[in-house]
Amino acid sequence: MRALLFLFVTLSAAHAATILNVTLSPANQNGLPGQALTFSGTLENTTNGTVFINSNSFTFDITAIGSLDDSLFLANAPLSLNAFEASKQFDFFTVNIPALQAPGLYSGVFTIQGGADDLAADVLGAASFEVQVNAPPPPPPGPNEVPEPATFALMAAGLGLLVWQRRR
Amino acid sequence: MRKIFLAIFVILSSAGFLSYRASSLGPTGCKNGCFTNVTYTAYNLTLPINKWVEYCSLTPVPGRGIACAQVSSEADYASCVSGFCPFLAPFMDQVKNYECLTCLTTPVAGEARLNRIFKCSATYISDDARSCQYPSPQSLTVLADNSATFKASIGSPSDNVPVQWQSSTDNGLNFSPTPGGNSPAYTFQAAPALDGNRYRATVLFGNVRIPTAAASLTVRSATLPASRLLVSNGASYGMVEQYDATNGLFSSNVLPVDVPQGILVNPADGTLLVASAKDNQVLKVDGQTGAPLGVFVNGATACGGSTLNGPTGIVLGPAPSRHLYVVDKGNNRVVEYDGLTGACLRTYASGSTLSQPHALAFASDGQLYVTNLTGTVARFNASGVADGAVSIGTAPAGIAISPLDGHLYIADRSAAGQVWKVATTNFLSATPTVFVPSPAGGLVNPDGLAFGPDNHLYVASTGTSQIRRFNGSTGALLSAFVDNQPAGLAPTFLTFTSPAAVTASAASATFSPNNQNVTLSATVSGPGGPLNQGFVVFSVVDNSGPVPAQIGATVGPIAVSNGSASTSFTLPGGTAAGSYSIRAAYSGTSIFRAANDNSRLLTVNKATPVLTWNNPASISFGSALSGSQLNATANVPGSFLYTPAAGTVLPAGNAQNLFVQFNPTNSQSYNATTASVQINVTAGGPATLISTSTLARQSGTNNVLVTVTIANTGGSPATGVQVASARIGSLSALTTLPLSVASIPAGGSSVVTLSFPSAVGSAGARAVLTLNGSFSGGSFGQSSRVVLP
Repeated sequence: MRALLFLFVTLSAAHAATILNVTLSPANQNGLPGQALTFSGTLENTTNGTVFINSNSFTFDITAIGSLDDSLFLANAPLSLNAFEASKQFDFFTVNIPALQAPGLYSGVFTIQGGADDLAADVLGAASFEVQVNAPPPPPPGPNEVPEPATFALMAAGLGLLVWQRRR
Repeated sequence: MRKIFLAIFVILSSAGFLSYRASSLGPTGCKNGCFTNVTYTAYNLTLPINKWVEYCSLTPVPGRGIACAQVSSEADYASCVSGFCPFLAPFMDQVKNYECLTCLTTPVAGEARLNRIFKCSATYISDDARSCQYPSPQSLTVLADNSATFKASIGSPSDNVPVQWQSSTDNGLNFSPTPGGNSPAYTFQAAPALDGNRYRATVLFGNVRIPTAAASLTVRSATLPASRLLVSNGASYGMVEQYDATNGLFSSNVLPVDVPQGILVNPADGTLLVASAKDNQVLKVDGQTGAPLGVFVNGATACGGSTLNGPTGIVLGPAPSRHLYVVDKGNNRVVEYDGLTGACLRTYASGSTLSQPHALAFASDGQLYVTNLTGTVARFNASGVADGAVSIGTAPAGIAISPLDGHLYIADRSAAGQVWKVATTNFLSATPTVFVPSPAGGLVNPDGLAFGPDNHLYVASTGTSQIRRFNGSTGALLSAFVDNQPAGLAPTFLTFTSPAAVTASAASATFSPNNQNVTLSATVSGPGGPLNQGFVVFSVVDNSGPVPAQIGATVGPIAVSNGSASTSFTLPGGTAAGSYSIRAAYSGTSIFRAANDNSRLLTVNKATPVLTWNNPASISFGSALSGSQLNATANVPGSFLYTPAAGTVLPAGNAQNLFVQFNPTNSQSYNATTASVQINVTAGGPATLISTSTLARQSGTNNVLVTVTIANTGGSPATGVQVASARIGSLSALTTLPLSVASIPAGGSSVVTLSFPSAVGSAGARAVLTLNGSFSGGSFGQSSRVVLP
């Protein structure tokens, strides 16, 4: 598993604290190749000042571009949170599992940036998430499918072998 | 109207024929058939012999009844009557029992003789001759708004003679009935306006209401002294009186009691108990107002096989039972009663060691000492078993225990009165010593004695009508403390009552699920300073609920020493944090009144849970915090709130603080608390890319240039980084994409510049910048709210 991000504003050399508590609910989801999974969550301002939410970054184990669509976040996130204010739960992003994605556990980190004004880009907080990509079930055979010539040849060879054994 | 006459005289010194009984209280009266206001003179009578005939003395004394005598011999009396008083024959039954008369011939001691003829007159009233002998009630001096009780000595208490009390507001010229005054004792609240009124009792005989002489009421506006000396005054018919214990000045009458004897203050409720030798009762009196509270011990009811016969000394036994012990003088025994109810318990002590017992006292060793007027002091153990007696003086009467040395102090009721002192240790072999000698002490027929609040000794000198005060340590005479009491003083027993104050000390403890010991203490003081007697009982009460609930067990009694009492209280485990009232109850003594204090608190503070949290092992950068690191434990149930929370990815670095706030489930008794540890985050882990962008307007083209800083906050280098797409709003970058970026080392960053057409918007417009890319470990991206330059 890969985890990913840090969300600390350094207060001192030895002390660090998050500005936003970023909570994904759930943070772990299962899906099949080709399936889209939407991650939702909440933001909570842990400081006694207003925090502007200006940007987000993400890193995701799946390489395919577009496998994580973060357009939901800025569309849904509040522009700012007052002191100690918490947001309602809203959709953060969508994971689009590529159709040929190999089964496995894929991790990511979703980072929120902003700060004291609408231009700030400080790291405010982050949350990790995981996507378990499962193997798709094998498709059942079709009812009207015609065997290929090689299949017929193999069947004929088998039948010939049976006849030869009986004659002996 | 019918007439009758009889005269009898008694020769005190004559021998043989007469049996004499003098009584200052007068006879109890005719039963029936007496006559009214008829006076006969010049009748000649011969003294009857051995008959129960009682007659008036020559000069009835107001308020004291009429001295009477009796002769006993039915035959002689009948002969007398038939021989000299033939008119009495039809009324023999009455005459032989009671009659009232006045002899006209002044009797002279030694002059009267058998068959001597006297000229007498008699006054017979209606059909009951008692009223002619009824004494006046005693005049009273009481404090304003306290209780006043006039008592007419009419018959015995069992007679329940119906009377009607009357009062006069004009110095006795006119009387009118008082409401509710229909019994021999008339009690009312002495309002100041009643000062100077006169009171008398009347008895209805036939159609005639016969009054007693009137008594006066004096209502004082003075307040009740804080410390009082209470005295059983046997003068006249008997009165309980109280004096200021600081100066001996008379305060007020408390209650008329016929032949008052032992007196004490019940520290349990502050009431007075006083024995009446005539009525064979122990009466209960309100200790503050003097209001009679009824008969506490009715000696007419047998207890231990006998009725009381002349009770004298009384005392309360040791705590905690505090039973009442009464000297039953006529039966040579000590009787035990319940100290709270007066209910009969048993004959406590009897036998040959008691001979005319008079007074008694419990020493600190729990043994009872009883004076015998025959010259000894007997000792009984806690079971009432006598273990011997010691000869002391000639007539040991009053007895007291010194608060200074614990020794016995005994008044010798002889004409040359003195006070003896003897130790209780090795009592039977101890040698009594004279503490107050005669005649230096000035005591004549001393009776009761008591140590006062000042620890000095006060002795009732009956023969001198005084209460004399002696140094409690040396026996030196200090003063005639009470002297020249105008209404007459014949003190028998005395006691003190004085206020005491008890103050508990605040205490504290810390909540614990287990029992714990808490020290409770209190100070006890009287008017003169710290006390050295009595006991304190401690308890702890929870007053937070609708009904007070006691916490733990009552502790005590704890002896007061040098003004303080201290003990260890077991606070039950699990007693919730909060404030509880400490109740310190001072027992009181024969001198000092009981007192209570519940003003102090036992504060049980919240306990602080013990958190256990060790520095966790180092983790690699990129590893989110989990229960492996956030694993604090507490010794009580509760919840943990960690900062940073689980799932947080810390930056690489050493000695980074992790905090936890613990909120106990039992928040009433436990504090919330915090703890912290430190963790080292080592470099390593995957690459993590975070992008930030700055925008500028390109001069000339007016295109928008976006400078993207891609920072690798992970622990591994990011290779193969390339920006795959970028747009502002719906317009893509002019820059050819994908755009490769050099590898970004861990902790490093790279910058790329992307150009967007000017059509993305005018300066100041808001838009969303979207960036996507990939690297060897995955994909990355960014969306930002931007303000176009």
